[in-house]
Amino acid sequence: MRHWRKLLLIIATWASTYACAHVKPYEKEYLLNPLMDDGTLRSLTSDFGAVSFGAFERLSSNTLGASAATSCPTCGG
Amino acid sequence: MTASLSLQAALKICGPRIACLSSLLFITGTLGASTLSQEVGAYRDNQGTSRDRAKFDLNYQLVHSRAGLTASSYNFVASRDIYEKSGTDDEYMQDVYGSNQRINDAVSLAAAQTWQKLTETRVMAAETNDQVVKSRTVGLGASHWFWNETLQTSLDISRTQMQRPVFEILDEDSDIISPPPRLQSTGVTVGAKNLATTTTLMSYAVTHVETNDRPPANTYSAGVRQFIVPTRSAVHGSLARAVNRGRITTKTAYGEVDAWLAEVAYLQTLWRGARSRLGYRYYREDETSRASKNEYVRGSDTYSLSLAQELGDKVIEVAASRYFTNELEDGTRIAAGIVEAGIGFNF
Repeated sequence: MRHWRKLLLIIATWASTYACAHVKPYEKEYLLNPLMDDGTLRSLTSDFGAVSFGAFERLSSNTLGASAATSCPTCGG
Repeated sequence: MTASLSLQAALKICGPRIACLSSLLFITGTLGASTLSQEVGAYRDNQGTSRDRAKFDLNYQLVHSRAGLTASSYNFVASRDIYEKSGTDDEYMQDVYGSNQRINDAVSLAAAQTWQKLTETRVMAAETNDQVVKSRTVGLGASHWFWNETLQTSLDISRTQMQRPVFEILDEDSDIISPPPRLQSTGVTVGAKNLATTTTLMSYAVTHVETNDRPPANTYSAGVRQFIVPTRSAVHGSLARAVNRGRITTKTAYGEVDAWLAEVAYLQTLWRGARSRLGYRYYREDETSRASKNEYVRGSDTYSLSLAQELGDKVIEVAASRYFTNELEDGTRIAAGIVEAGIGFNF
């Protein structure tokens, strides 16, 4: 990875985590809305599509989809 | 209506025994605690391939402390998929399964323990079996919240072992491609999730996967969820980059690959208890073949719409997706559709 990409990643990560200090526990109303919640997302998304379409995509079911959808890095289709 | 369709589809896919179990679960569903859901799905494409699924998902929550700070949860999932290729005979299916149809059963069991609300530890085990190809996965992970529960870091490790028959093919340079009958892979994911503002949630993950037939694969992903206050809706976006390049041997059927995956979705509460999700997904994969070093580009677009309606302690879900690829190496373009329906009980 080029140095500028690393730098960009570090700045983006730092900027977003720095903002954490400004979100107080009593300010989480919107973040706790069902539309932001993993449970709601599970009822509106399904692994059936990812697995079926993944048959044509070599990296989506093994790594890309796994890292985005589940905590198991080797759980593919 | 949806429950009836769901049961009929389960009966068709799994036979009367599972459908009876399904009916029993519907009746007993409201007596216990936690969540039970049943889903069915159907996939069809323009190449004559079909796939039907029935799935049961049981989530059980156990709270250990009065304040609810320490709790454990258990998740059991069982599914059956029936694949069928109609029209022309598929050489692989005929050689390995002796038929144009195969049935794949999958089960998984996961347990998670939350300690004083901030720390979670988890373990999982899964198995899939279609009577020819068998796969087993075990995994464990942990996560912890920092800074007033605004930054969560996580670490997950998993290992998969797969047994499959040897199916050799001839490559462009006349070398014989012979994938190993035992495939082993180990993966590690390091992730972070943070509440960036009072309406923004960010997530990041890096995954490294080692296998015994291909070079290591690395995936870098980032996601954002933005709540829009005036419309009480949300926009979710994610971007991932996967790189699987290095020395390619005759153990694997395809060359060096890397890919981009981008997804955006709009979520809206429609009326009381009704939520919708409209999504678009873009995938692009670049391949350099082993023998000729030819460059290939695969791409796909996916459009999806899903609805979930809460009715008391029940949730009814329906979803539809359309999937299109560009022209693949063999000159075909895949156009596929998926419909799904499900019903869940909170008990």
